[in-house]
Amino acid sequence: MRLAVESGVLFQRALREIPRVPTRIAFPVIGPVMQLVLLTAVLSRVTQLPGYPARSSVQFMTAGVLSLTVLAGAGGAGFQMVQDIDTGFFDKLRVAPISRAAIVLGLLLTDATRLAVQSLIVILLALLLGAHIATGILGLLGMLALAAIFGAAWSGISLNVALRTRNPEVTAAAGILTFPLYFGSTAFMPHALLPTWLQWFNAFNPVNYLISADRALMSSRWDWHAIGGALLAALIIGAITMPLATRAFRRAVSG
Amino acid sequence: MHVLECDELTKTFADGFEAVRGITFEIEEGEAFGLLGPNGAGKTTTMRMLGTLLTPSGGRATVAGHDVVREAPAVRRAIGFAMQEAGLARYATGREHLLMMGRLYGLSRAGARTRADDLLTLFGLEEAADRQVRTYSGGMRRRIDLACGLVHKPRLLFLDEPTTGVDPTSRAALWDELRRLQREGVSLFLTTHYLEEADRLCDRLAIVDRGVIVARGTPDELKAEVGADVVTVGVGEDEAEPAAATLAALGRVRVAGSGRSVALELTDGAAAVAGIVEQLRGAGIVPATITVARPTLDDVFLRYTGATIEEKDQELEPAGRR
Repeated sequence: MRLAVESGVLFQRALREIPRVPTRIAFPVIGPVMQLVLLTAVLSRVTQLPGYPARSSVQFMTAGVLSLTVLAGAGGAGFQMVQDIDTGFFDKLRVAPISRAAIVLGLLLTDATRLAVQSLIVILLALLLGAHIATGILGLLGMLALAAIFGAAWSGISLNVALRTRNPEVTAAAGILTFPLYFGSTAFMPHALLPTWLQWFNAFNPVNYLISADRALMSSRWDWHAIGGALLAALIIGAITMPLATRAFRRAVSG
Repeated sequence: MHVLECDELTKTFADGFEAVRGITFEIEEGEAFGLLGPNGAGKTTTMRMLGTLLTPSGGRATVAGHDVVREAPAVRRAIGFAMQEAGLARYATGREHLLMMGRLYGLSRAGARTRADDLLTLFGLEEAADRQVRTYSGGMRRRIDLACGLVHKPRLLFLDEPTTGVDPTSRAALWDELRRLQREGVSLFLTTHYLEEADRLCDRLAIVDRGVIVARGTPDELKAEVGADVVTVGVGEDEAEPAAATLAALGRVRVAGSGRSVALELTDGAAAVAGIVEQLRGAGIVPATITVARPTLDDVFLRYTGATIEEKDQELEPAGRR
């Protein structure tokens, strides 16, 4: 199928760039890594709170840090697109007889892969810091898959900003605007210990669904209810961002 | 048959700027056709509309028989497009670019590999093939970009300012390569604001100013329209006046060079040289030198737009508008 070949070719191009520009993998993961190392240490005594569900803060907070990794890294597609527009490479693709969807799909696949790699770095570090994965190696793969799927949907946000502003700085900054979803989530504290308004807020917080799924895989079991919630959240985000991105793309294309 | 036709093409941007205000021309199969004009004249906008990158506001156009709006995919298959910015992925190598484009234009993996090798050889890029293009010089970037535009052996090659920002040596080499491509049957459509490039490369050209075509023809026709060649005859002291009197029958004549030469305006100066020499001999005058100066495209440009192309470039049109 042409679409598969075309997006595959573009995906390969982006994959080859990963080792050539290692900063693209490394930079977005610096924040999550600092949180994993320092913040878990700062908060190590919270385990003594009544109702805290884990014996170590690393074990509890890894799921949250994984969601931060996705939020911080999912700007890649938009950033890449702005850069391609800037260099004129985007025009080169547009003038080729390929499906317009392939251009976007190639970028999203790339983001998904990059996010899986970044998540792997975070998980390995968590293991090094004493965490364990209750669902084993399959659970690890499950978390990577969740990061990839959720991240690809989340990338739609950066794609929209990229196509509408064509400005790399704005595109990079836009990702930060999603961070309140992380800080308000159960990343640091269990649901039961959050104030009521945040508990209510998290019912609508897609990031929190991702955290719940990751946390289940990390600390308890294959909780299909939680995993389904995360996938549904990703689906809803994708259903909002992708049509908008398509429209922005068309507008960018027709000039 | 025309490989490209456009009829009353217009483009008005969202902010109301009328970049193209009704452009009509056609390109013959095998021809090299150029749009010559200053920055901001609408050349690139026209080319981008014809290359399916911009939707025209009005008019219609076909490339290789396909409508540029309704049959954009077919147009894209028929053309190669080398962009002004040489749009390349900085961290990919030259060979990777060609393989990628080959696959995107529908070649098999093996086919793309063979074609990439051929093009790398053709453009003398074998040594640089496996280096990332961010290490390439301007001329090399243009060559790999050009090669990318040729992976699918297009009938028509779009070249947007093919040698802008390229050093003179590389420019001459690129011209040679483009002429070779044309000999092999590829039609060329280029924009340029270099008069020399238009003169050396184009079979026919159109001068574009403020979104309309103000003159068109072969470079020689355009120069002939501007008028006369100037034939300057160097003569001995005191011979200028009698020489001028002798030659007065041939065309407009005046004494120049502080009385040591005669300047004669003729439609075809080169053909008249023999006659001039003969007439002067008859009057007992032996010319020391004879030079024929032909009008340049700069003269043509000046005549149709009221300014030289350099002056035009200084008039600040909104920069980077495409």
